[in-house]
Amino acid sequence: MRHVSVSSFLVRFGVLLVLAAGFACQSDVAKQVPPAPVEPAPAEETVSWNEATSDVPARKVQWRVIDHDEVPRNEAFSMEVRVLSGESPTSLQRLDLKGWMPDHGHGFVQDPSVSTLDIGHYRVDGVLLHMRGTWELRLQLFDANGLDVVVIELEL
Amino acid sequence: MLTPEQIELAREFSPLPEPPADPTNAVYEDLDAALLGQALFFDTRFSSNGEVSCATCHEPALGFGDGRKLAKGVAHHPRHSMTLWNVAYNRWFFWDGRKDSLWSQALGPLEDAREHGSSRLEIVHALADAPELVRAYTEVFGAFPNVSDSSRFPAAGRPVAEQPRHPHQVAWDTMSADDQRTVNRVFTNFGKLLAAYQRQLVSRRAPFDVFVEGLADNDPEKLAALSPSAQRGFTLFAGKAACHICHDGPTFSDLEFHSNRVATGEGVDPGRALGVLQLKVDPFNGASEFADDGGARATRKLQITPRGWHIPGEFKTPSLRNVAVTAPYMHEGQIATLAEVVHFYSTLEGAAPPDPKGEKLITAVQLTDAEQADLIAFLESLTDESLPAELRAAPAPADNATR
Ligand code: HEC
Ligand code: HEC
Repeated sequence: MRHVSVSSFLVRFGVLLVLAAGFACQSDVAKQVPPAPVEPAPAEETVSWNEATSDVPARKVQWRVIDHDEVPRNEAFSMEVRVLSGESPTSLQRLDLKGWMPDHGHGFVQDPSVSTLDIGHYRVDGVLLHMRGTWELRLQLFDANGLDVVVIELEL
Repeated sequence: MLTPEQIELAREFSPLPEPPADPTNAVYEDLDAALLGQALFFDTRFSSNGEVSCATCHEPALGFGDGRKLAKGVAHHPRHSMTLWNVAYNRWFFWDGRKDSLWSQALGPLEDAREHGSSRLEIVHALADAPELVRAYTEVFGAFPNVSDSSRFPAAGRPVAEQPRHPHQVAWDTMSADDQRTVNRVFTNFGKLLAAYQRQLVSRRAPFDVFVEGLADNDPEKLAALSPSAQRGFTLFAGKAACHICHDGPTFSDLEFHSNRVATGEGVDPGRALGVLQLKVDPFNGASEFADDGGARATRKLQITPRGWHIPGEFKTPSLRNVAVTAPYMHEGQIATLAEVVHFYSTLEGAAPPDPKGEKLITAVQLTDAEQADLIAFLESLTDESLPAELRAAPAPADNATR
């Protein structure tokens, strides 16, 4: 099991804090992403994972950028997300990524697309943070218990 | 003088790199294509009245604009002509971004009744009738198709949305799918030639760029390129006035769409909200069969193109490079001078009311008169018209004859 060096990412990506908010919501879980792998994850495990704690007991959420050294401003990038329960991957019904700029009152200008790589392992393409300022990347995790929103806050 | 943080910030705006690649246009970086595109750009034969060329509204001596409030080609146009300086750096084209490539953009004005007022069949025939152009075309793309059979290739025609009885649509409907594709191929190639020319219209060594180089080299001569007033103007631009949140990066544009609350004339111009919808159904968008990369790249770009939250009246953030030579300003040419633009952002006098559903990005930045003067000096330091003169006029006829 790789370990996450959160502090280096705090400096490097300007991650302010990682918030987790879990609340129940039963809607909209029908459109499950088919589990067929689309593009393989990078073989080299050179990029370390950032961790985001979820409110769901024992759930661990990890993410990393896979096609850039750091989160780029106004350039689309791809990221990987891993969801674990304890130490083992946990399956979800669906994962979505929404964006929001709390100070600007707007979100993404394009919808990222999510594909499933493996159990609890996702690839998100087309993430575009088009402006400087504070961004909230809101990962929406749907499972049988409802919706768990994990917020990654970034300062670009 | 700039603080270390401001120096770091200045580096985010310069240098401007090479224009990005366009894999949907195989001849984008081909110099023969650019030269032929340049000839087409200045050629009035591709308009319904024989008087209009791209340069009519994109005049090199007027910052590749027309100096008019609203454009006028064959007829009047409801929007202001955009500058073509650094046009190749865009992600979307037109004020509303209804095109996703420079080549596809060029097809719009040719068939727009207010601009060239032509049709793709007329364009293809006009090309076929110009042996020097056919020769140059053949060198870039290979054989030019035979379109001389007027029963298969009517003199004029194009698809006309929602007007099945329009004579252009009627003529188009008489053609076989194969012949239509032949015409569309030449027509899209025409756009790709124009794009190859426009890619050359780069401006990236303004006094501000020289100054930023000077910050790295510590070269006093380069540092002198930016007056103390313009330096203060930069710190306002990327500080108190926060212009940089939208006019960001070395293009001085985030390449996306916003309302800056400039008031508009009568009638609602939906801007980006409509542009998105038009782009998705455009038969010449980057996912079409005419994209030279097979549409692979654009398919994703289009899948994830904006949706819901665009309120009516958002327009593309214009680049501010060469802005001092491209008056008047804004999508309807509402504002005549840079001083008035800066006064507008400073006071929001006469601004449209904020849309409660819109972004919260524009507030009166309340600059003093001295600060406004500094900000204007900074905007004026973004001028570089050093493009070789031979790229700013129709190519000499000899260039075509020798081909
Ligand atoms: C009648 C004047 C007129 C003519 C002729 C004309 N244009 Fe334009 N051009 C405009 C106007 C007006 C706009 C903005 C229109 C809009 O947003 O709907 C524009 C926009 C553009 C843009 C988009 C720039 C950007 O930053 O998005 C490009 C590129 C362009 N024109 C190139 C051309 C080319 C190439 C031709 C010749 C085939 C041409 N234009 C002919 C008036 C004209
Ligand atoms: C919310 C994003 C935003 C901010 C902040 C902003 N602008 Fe703009 N700017 C725009 C948009 C969008 C347009 C085009 C609006 C239109 O045509 O309707 C524009 C147009 C302009 C133009 C006209 C350019 C042209 O070619 O027509 C100038 C000059 C300009 N802005 C300068 C500034 C300055 C100086 C500031 C800071 C005081 C600033 N802008 C702040 C988004 C912004």
